[in-house]
Amino acid sequence: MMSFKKTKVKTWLICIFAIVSILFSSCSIIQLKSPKVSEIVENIKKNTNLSSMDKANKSKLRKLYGISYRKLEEFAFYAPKTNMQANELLILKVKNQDDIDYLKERIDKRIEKQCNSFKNYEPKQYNLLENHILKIKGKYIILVVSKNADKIMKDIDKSFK
Amino acid sequence: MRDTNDLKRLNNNRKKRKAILRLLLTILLLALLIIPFFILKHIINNKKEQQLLKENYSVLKELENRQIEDVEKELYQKQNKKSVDNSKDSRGSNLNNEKNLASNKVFFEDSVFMGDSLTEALDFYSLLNPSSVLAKKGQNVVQAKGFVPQLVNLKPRRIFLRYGSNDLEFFSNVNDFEKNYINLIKSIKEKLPNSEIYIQSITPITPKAQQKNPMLANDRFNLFSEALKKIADKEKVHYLDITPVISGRNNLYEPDGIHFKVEFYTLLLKFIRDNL
Repeated sequence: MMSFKKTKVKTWLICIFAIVSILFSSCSIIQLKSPKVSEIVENIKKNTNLSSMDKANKSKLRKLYGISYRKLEEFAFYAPKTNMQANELLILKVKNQDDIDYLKERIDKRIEKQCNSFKNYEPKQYNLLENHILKIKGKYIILVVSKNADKIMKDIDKSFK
Repeated sequence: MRDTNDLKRLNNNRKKRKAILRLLLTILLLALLIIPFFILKHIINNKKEQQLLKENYSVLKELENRQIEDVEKELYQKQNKKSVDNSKDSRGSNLNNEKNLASNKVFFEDSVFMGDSLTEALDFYSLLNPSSVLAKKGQNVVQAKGFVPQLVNLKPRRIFLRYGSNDLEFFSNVNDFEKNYINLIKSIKEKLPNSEIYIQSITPITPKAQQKNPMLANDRFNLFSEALKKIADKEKVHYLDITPVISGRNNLYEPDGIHFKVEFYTLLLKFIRDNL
């Protein structure tokens, strides 16, 4: 009888331990895979100065991209300071995964329009646009136009680990 | 001995069955309690939707009975208020003619500004309605003809042209510049005979920028600037010398010494309004 009870206690302890560890690891996975956009921006700012761009609001987002903030859970938009500059940082987190395709379309359109505008007149800026990085990570869609594009993208990727 | 064991087993089985039954009953009870909540929530949402539909329908019905002019008036008033709010939060700096900012869009709503990157800024800084700006980087008076169809569609009351900066590089001979600018104006007048046309002067370029590009040197700059006055005379269109806007305000240049900061443009629009 005593040995039987011991094994029962053991199995319960193992079960509890297993459940708790699963809960902990799943919590951490869930949290890091969906970082807050503001956190991603903080990570970027640690290594890259964003002051060459203007932090933009939802009106600019609508004006330049034709994207409504209502479709977004969270966003960060750093826009060019003058019409002669092309550097830009856009991080969008959608409410509904289905909207990602439409948003990508709008971003592609803006890149095309910007390329058209800068081509032949500002070769440096046009170069930045040609080497833009556009990534989709689940509910996130990210655009980086910058001479520091690779560095910025690295910090963005880190935020998802 | 055998019988008590059998009895024990039977009792255990009965106890198990009772326990299972009890469990099933509690689950059923919980379900019966929770499901009505969901049904109620669904009903309430439906009611909200129907209410919203009713309200929207009545608004639409009411709009049917209103005149376009009245609705437009209301829209402009709301637009004015919105522009003031927007200009407050998108440009943190204190622009002391915020009221003018908002009314510029309305004042110039039936005007079109045509030009190059110097004119593009008017749309970039949201100082005018997008439909009031027809501009593209690098434009000269030859390429500008491509925009005339769009211009015609907009049916503007006033047209403000601002070319010359790129033409300084494009044309080696000032006569060709004059010829092509006149060409452009003629093609506009042909399609829009009743529109008022204004030619803006070429804004000065800083010595630093001139050093980098010999085509922008003072002698050429003066030649081309004079040509503009001749063109305005010949074609009987208005000539707007906008040099006073930048005079004594060199801090309004962008680092490249050719383009301007946003403050220049608010001053420019005020200047134009005051000099029409």
